[in-house]
Amino acid sequence: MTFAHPVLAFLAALSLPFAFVWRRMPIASRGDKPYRYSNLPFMTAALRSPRWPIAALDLACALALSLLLAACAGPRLRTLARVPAAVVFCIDTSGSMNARDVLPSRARAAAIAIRSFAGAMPSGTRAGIVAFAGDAQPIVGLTAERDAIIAALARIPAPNGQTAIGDGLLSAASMLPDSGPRAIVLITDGANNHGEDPRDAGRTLASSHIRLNAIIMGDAPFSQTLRSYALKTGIFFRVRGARDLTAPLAQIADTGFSAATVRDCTVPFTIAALCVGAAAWLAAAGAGRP
Amino acid sequence: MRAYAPGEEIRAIDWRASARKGSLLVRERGHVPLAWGALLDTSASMRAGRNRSLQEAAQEAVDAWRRCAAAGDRWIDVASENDYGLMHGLDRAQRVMPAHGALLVAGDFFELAEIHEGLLRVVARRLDCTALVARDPWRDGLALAGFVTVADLETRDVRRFFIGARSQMRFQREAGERERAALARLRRAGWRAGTFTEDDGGRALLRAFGAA
Repeated sequence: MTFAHPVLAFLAALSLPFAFVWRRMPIASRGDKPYRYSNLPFMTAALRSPRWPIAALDLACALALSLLLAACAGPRLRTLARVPAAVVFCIDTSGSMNARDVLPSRARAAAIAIRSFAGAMPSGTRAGIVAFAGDAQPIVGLTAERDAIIAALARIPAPNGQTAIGDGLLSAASMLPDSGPRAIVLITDGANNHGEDPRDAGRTLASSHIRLNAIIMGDAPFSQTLRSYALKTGIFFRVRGARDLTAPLAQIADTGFSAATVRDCTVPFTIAALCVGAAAWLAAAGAGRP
Repeated sequence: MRAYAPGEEIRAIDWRASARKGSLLVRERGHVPLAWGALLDTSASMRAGRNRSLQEAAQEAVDAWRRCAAAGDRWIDVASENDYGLMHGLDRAQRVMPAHGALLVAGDFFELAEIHEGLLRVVARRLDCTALVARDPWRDGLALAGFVTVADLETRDVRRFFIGARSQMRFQREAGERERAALARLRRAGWRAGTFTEDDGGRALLRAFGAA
């Protein structure tokens, strides 16, 4: 839930306890004209009237005020709806991916995580795989068939060679369609040392509105430009274990292929405020002398 | 003393004086001056009432009480209850009024529970005491329902109530019970006791004496 006027929303949040406390304050200070009786302690004891209706009325008044203020603040409800997306895994197969700081090895951990992702891939989502070392190599084109993706994992070359992140990203971008939700999941462990400049690749992704999710293994330096772009459009993770690798991919599966819709909730809030206020008013208006 | 005249009541004869004189003598009984006093509750709680205040009705009763005094009787100025409270008012009446004086106390008697019955008895032994207890304006039906705000006339405390049908019935029952308990307590202590409403002060006095 977001608000067009956050200050009013803050006041609305404050108004609920404030209005409730104000209703509970000594009534004489509020200027109400009371009925008069000789002995209030006797009347209290004689009536033995329940306290909850008073508290309920106070709460209803406070709630009506709060809802009204919230309605004035322009409430917006943001909902995420899954949409068919296209995602390309861009996997580093440079020699350093043999390292075993991430068990069983960086390359194996990446394959396991992609298998897990493919297994839970939302229907309609298409995925592809690009492997890169000294150059980029498409492993499987975009497909919605999970088995095809899982089978393609066996075709990923063994880790060897340099790290051409820029080439890998451009190859993945070329695999994606021109429109619709598109994302690249980059899984790498190091700095670019070959091929295209990753900053140029990042600019290409930005101009094409392609989301970038970067999962970096180990502590090797990573392009600041790509990091910023990943943080802006997707997620950026540094992982040091196989479980750590599964978590960001699950997050990508959850939120990475969803489209946000924003719904203006001013009218429902106003109606709710009027209903609660009217109910409170009707309850209080029928009071007094029958 | 004077000689007995045939036709006069036998009981009027003063037998001892007649024996000494040797003829029937009658003791002439003139008017014995009586002392009258009233203790009127003028506290803020007596301003309650649906159409007019209980205090006005109580004042009517006191005025009627005052009119009962014959020529030659004394009116003792007992301070209003408001100045001293009921307990102190009774104590003062006991001190300022001569024995066998006639005292009227008119009020709502909310304080009665705090007063020791012994004091009531002592006052009743010394004085001819009549109490007029103000009937609760809402005793016969609480004319309030729903969410209501009620202020205490004396303390000015304010409280909100939700009054439903059950609460109305409970109040009616409790108000009636309070009135009955006050009358019973006063009568037990030797007082003549009755009630008055905001509509009748003078007639209530007659009712207390069983004349109306």
